[in-house]
Amino acid sequence: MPDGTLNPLTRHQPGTELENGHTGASKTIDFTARQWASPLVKENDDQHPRETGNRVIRESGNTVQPTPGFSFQPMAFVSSGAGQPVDLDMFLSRLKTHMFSISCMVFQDVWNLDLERVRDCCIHVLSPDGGLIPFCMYNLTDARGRSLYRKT
Amino acid sequence: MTTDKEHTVAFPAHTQSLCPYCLKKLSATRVEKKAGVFLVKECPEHGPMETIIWRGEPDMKTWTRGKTPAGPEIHSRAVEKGCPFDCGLCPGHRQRTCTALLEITWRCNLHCPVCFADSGDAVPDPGLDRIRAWYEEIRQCTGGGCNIQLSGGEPTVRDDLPEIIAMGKEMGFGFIQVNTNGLRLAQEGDFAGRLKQAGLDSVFLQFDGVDDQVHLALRGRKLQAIKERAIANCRSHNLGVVLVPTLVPGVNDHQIGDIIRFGLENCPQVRGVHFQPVSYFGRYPKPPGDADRITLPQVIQGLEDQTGIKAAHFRPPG
Repeated sequence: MPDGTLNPLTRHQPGTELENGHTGASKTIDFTARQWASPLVKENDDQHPRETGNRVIRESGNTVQPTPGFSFQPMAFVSSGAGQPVDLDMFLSRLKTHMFSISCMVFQDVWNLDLERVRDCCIHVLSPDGGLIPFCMYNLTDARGRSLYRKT
Repeated sequence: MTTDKEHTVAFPAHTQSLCPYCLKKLSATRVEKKAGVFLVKECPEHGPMETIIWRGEPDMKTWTRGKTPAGPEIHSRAVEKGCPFDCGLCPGHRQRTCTALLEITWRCNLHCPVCFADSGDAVPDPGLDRIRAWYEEIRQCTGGGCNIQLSGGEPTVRDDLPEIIAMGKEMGFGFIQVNTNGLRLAQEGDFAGRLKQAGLDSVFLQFDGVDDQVHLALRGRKLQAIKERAIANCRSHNLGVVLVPTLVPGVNDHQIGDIIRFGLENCPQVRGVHFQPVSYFGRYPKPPGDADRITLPQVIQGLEDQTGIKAAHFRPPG
């Protein structure tokens, strides 16, 4: 909001319930597409046609490896500041246009490479020869600069 | 067997990694020491090694959100040699594609000391038919519901970039972003407009700091005025911008707060900041030391210290 202070919208609560990974991935994709796109666009689904295909959601009752996350995806927006009454209309209007995200991704290299993390990677490079390769694996080189996947 | 409750608060110490010298697959352990958590591994041929992976608060054990595996439906590769030698993706992968990157050129108009992608003029750019086949493959492998990032090299060196964007939109991709250093966006006033008209949703703008000292150190060139002009041109054509700093210890980690403030001053055109701590690809005469790394909690601490935004508001990936 106009005075420039920030009001956080997210909070990490460890120990919350197990999420469905497919739902989580869809939320991430949709949030990124909305938040990182041009501002002042009406929230109209027609402007972001999305083909989800006929994906089957697999529920898994198997053991889940709790791999630590090495990224964060929070958000904050410009608020009305302390001491001022929050005008709900203003709040909702600013939420649409002035939501601001702060995020981080720690890439892996051959020294800090953790293959449990690799299996959870969702940013993939399309190899010119075909196949979607996890970003860090595509860029990975040994100490002499020789690539695991990228062809130079 | 872990229970649902346990895997939100703990993770196994054991994992696997590769030898930096021979790429042999090695057993690895996450070991908590006074200085932080280290990834410890030993190659039978090249000896023991360890690398810092987590320094300070929040505790690594709390930095997880329990989730069920959500691997891709379609696997282009079978499990043969084991992770990470079957990428393509294989059935062992636990996450579907959220963002697919297309490297549409190897050329670049800025030659940086810090770069993921090799850049060179020797390799010809893939033609539009090839790129159409790439989009098609992504659509087939993912069902189409993923975001696209056009990368390189520097994708804006291609004069047919608008056609490449328009092609992706026509093929049904809902979100297309261009990863750029901003040079051409700054230099050609109407370039942002042409990309917008083609359907571009977002500019992923390399933005390492708020003054030329940082740009000189990381990119060998004064770029602050150029970055600001690029953002102004995006504003004129209503293109969303995400600032993407590569964080390097001692070079720009003191500007985390300044970068956030710069972003907020340019909100709503600037949609957010996406930090990428430096990682080490390519040839190195000696292994990067622990002082050469900024771990995730250090970014969070830097944000808290330099902006006052509380660490508790940041969440691990879903």
